[in-house]
Amino acid sequence: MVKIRAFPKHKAPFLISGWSPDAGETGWRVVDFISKRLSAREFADIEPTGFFTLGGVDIKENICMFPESRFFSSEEKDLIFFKSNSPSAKGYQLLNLALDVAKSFNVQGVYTVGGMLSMMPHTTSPREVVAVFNSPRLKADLAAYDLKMDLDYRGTPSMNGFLLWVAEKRDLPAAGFLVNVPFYLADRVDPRASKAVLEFLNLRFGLGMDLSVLDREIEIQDRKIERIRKNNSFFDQQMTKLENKMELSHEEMEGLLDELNRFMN
Amino acid sequence: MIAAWPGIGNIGLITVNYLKNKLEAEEIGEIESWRHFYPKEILVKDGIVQGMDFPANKFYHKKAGRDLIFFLGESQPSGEDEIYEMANLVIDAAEEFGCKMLFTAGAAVAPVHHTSTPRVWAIPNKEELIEQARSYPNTIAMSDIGEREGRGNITGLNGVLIGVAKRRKLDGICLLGEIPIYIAHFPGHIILYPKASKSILDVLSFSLKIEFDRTNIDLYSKNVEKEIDLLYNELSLPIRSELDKLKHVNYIRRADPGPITEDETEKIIKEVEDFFREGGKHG
Repeated sequence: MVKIRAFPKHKAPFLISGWSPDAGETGWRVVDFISKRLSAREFADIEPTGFFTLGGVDIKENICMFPESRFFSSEEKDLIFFKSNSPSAKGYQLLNLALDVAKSFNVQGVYTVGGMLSMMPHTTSPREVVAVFNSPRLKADLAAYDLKMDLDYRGTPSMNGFLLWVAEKRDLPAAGFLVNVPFYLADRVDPRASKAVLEFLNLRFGLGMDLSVLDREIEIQDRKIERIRKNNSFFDQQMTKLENKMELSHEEMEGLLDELNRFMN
Repeated sequence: MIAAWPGIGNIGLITVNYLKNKLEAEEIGEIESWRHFYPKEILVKDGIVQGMDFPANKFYHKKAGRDLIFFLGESQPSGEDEIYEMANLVIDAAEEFGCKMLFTAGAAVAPVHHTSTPRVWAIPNKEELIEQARSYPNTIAMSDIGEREGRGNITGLNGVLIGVAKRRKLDGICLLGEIPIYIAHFPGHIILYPKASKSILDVLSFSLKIEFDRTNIDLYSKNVEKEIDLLYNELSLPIRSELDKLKHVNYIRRADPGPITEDETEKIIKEVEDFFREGGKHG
């Protein structure tokens, strides 16, 4: 079920994974960004049969989509990347296949990246990166970084959380790095969220990536949303409430989202 | 062994859970279900993952004259492969426990009225069990149902489990309690239907020769029926008149004022859906 097309040389790499869909498309975009910046080479993928509904294809932004679970390698930085759609079935089995690949390259740890929906404005900056671990040892290793490390949470897990749990069962230290994403950008790109995780990964692995392209994306998005605020008093009121750390009602959240979609599309 | 999962009206689950509780059966094992389900809850404390919670699939035991094993699944797997694997795991356990007979319980969506006593459709997994199934009280076989000629299908794990039992030579009977078609189709409303569970419990009491108190399920059924009455009385008069015909429907012999046609059934379902879409108020 895993097709390995090449065997890159690694010493003791980390695996960095990202999933789609994800709040603000954070996980997928972060992994995509790094693997392209490092010119990582694709070397393996997992066959979609059994994990995804294959009765047809989705179309997104005029493009036909097809589920994928791909591995990329940067030998120079000793990093392996895994970019995958969230499976519609057999999540446990898919995660195990991904970890089989990780283990076969003697991976020393797994990092997974994602967004967390939050009641806050998109301008919140800098975005806090919340780290969740499957072992106390890994937590101690990252104590020097600017991460929120004391999360208490009980609720539905994402694929990131599921991955941490499966990795723990297989004695692989793993950490999830999650960034808050405003609820109204759940299905859109949130460049501030991606940037926050990329800044951490830049430091952690000494990647030296130039992130200025994300600053430009942030500027463009801010301008677009600011224009909606100027032309729509309801939208402006809701944004002001968020800036003042006020909770929105369900109707207000839906209204804000409707207005955003109306103007952004 | 008596097995059930959630389904329409939660009829099977209510049945088996009630019997298990009344007989005070003890938990004896479970199927680790992470291969078959997406986790339902993660617990993180101080940044460390403490655990992951998956839908429970548990076995219970009680000696009540004979050994009874109960299996209760908190959720049905979503994929066909997972359903098949889960069914095999349950039958593995049944073989391990030395079970001689398997009962599954679920819902039969039928053109019946909610004020009628639900019958139980009994579907055995081998010919020799047909007469046994027919001997149960208030029970019908598929061939008793007009125009079905003994055919039909049982969706989900209830069906697959009884099929896998057949494949692995374990005798089994699937017991489906009737639920009115308009209740099964109430959009946006998950309506539990303990009245059908009560009918299945009567069958199990008879076939397994066990006695247990049914006061609570009677009470529960009556309360749910009152709630259904309230919803029913908010439907428009023409639709209620159509649904009232179901009081007279008999699968074998249809009495006046005549059956509900397929067109009428579709119209009723559409009307019920419109009723709830409009917020539950009708002129």
